[in-house]
Amino acid sequence: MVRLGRLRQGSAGTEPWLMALLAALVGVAASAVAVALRSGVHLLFEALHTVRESPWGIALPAVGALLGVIVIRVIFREPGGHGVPAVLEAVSRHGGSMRPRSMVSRLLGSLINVASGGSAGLEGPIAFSAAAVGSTVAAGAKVAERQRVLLLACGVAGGIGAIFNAPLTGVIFATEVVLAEWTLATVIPVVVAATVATSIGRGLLGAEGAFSSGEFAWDSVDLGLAVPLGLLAGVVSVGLVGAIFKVEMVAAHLKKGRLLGKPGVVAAIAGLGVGGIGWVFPQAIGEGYELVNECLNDDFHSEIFLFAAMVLLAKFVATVLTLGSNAPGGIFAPSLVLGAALGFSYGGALNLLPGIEVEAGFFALLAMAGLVAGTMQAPFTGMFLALETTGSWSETLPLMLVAVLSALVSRSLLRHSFYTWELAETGRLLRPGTDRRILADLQAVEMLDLESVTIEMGHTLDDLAKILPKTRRNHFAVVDDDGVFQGMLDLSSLRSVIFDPLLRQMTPVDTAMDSTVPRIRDDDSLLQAMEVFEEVGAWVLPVIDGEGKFLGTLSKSTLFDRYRRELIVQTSARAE
Amino acid sequence: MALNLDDAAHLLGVSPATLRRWAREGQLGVLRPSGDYRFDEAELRTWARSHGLRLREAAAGGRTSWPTAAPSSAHEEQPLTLALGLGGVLEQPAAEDRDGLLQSMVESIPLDSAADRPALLSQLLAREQLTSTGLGDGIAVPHPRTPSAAFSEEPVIMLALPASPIDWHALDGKPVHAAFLLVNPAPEVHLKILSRLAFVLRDAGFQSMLRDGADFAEILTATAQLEPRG
Repeated sequence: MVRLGRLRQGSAGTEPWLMALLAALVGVAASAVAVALRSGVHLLFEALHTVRESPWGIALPAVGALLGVIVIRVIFREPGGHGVPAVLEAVSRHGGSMRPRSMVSRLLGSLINVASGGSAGLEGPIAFSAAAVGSTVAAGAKVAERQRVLLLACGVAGGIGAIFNAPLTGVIFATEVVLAEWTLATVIPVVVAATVATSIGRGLLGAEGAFSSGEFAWDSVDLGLAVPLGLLAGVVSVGLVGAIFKVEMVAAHLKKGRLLGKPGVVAAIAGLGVGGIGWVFPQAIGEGYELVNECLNDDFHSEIFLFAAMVLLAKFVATVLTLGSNAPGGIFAPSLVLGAALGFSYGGALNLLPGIEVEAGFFALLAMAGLVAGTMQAPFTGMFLALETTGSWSETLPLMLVAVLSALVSRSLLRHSFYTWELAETGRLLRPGTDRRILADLQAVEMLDLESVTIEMGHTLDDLAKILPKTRRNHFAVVDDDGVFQGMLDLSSLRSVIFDPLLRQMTPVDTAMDSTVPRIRDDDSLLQAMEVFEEVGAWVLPVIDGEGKFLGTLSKSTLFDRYRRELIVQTSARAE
Repeated sequence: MALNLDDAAHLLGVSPATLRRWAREGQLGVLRPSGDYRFDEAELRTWARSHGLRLREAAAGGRTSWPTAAPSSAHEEQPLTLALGLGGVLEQPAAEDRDGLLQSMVESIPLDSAADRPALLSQLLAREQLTSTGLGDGIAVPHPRTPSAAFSEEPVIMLALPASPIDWHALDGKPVHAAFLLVNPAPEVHLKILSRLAFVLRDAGFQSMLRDGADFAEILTATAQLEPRG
């Protein structure tokens, strides 16, 4: 029995089992979402076939983008965008809470957009919808914040695993991008969810990977040639992310107009551009997976790599237009397609050099990982996505090389990834348990000393002495008839007169108070409050509302106590 | 510039023990770790900035209500005597009532040229409106309702000895024959000066000096003898 007790020490008992069970449940639900989205896109794409072939096909991406945005913004009343940043914000700012309706909103919107030709992927919407599934399950199970975030990540892992038939990619993406934390406690449930979801997804959608590639025979020369490709992939990734945000800024500016400000109008205009590109390069629009297959299997106009380079450019512009105008969709698929075209062009260019003969498909594979790693600043996700969707497990080493080089270039040129850029720029990327997050979460109002003692102007220190026995406070706020704060009395500075009955009788609080004490506003963030505390070296400061009325005092010691409680709540795993 | 452990800890706003632990954990560079800690100031500042730590210098010593100018030693030792010496005396003023006396005191008290004398007078009257500043036994200690550096950067006290006692609405009803006008830069200073004055006024000999209209030099000497040092 002693030995068992020692074994149990430090372990978490039944909790890991409970989390694994909930994760499995999330996995089942996430796979349903993935199957619905994948089949929906497939069916709608087929149904639109005749329209696409007609002259009206050029307007199809515009109509799709317009309808997609309208579904999300007008029908479901949610902010637009590609989905993953919204998931990161839910983790950052809302303790992993998402609305149940988020399970379907982005799903429908992106389904329409992508099936009608928008140059975007499904991982953004699937991550968003499946995250909402995880969050909803967590809400039903009434678990703590940390576990809710974990179940949300389980949804993401399951959704991505099922839709790409890539369980490891789901796990890595959820851990690397969503949680940004690798511990045993987080990895177990995420793996469970991805395993369950992908198993179901394979059963319903088929067991093939998204792409098929041939066998490549590579040697150390190819490995050496992969180095410049890795760096190039990084540069292209930075260019892509930068261009998307440039377009987003222009679009935000345009949206100030009356007509252009209507939901989806800007996306529709960009969609017209996408349609035009599709008219010339049909390969460049939609998810674009055929293009990837053609590049990988080396049969994509192998003699004219220049054409591949032009398709690369067309795809680049189409993606920038689609994602920059906030049409719903993700960056996974465009990154893969751009990577394939980039690598294929690279291989084709090498073949032009005398004495060099390489397989362009091999470099297409490597650059796929490179682009994903660069745009998302997530080398593992890029590597495993390429590995699992193509089944090229014998190319692990060059894939790793290219992915990490691309991520390195991206990290050195961009401070944030495609996903975190906007959140970080607006101060909304706050990982749980960090100083900034806690200070931003806690409001001055939450830690007011509501039992603070006030005394009205005109009263004397003798009146104060009478209430002293009834309180343990050392600071007293002086207010006027309307409760407007006038000044602060600090017992320690009253020592010289408070024990002399005559002096305290003839000293009004007006004369003894410190009227220059800095005030904290009730809507100040704790960050601002801390600044004031540090600046004046005070221990207790008054908090006032917009009209100057005294609300209570805020003390540094309370602040520390609440800070610690908040930290515990944000980082502990156990439900209350 | 090299800082020792105590100075570096003060700059960062932590205890020397904390700084020693940080150095031991390799959080920051130490110049000479052989028992005697030395920190490069520029490096320390860079390190603090990169970690978002606020340096202490801006908040050195925290808030103080004492005048910003460095107090002289006499200031610290016997502030009451010093303030009375600065303010001096107004003998035999012509005023017949409290408000008139206050007005002539405000006109003649030696203050900085920038001092707002009309505001001082209205503050004095506002203070009398709250409760009388008559201490009893014919002594009053008029002062502004809100002590402020706008009137004087340092404590100034002026004594007035009116020819005939003046009604001050004192608690004991006795008319006032000696009024000390207290002008202080901040509440905390005011309370300190007031308590010291109250202490000196408890002396029976001092009280009779005031009642008999003694020479101001004698009064000042007596104050210096009675005021506790430190």
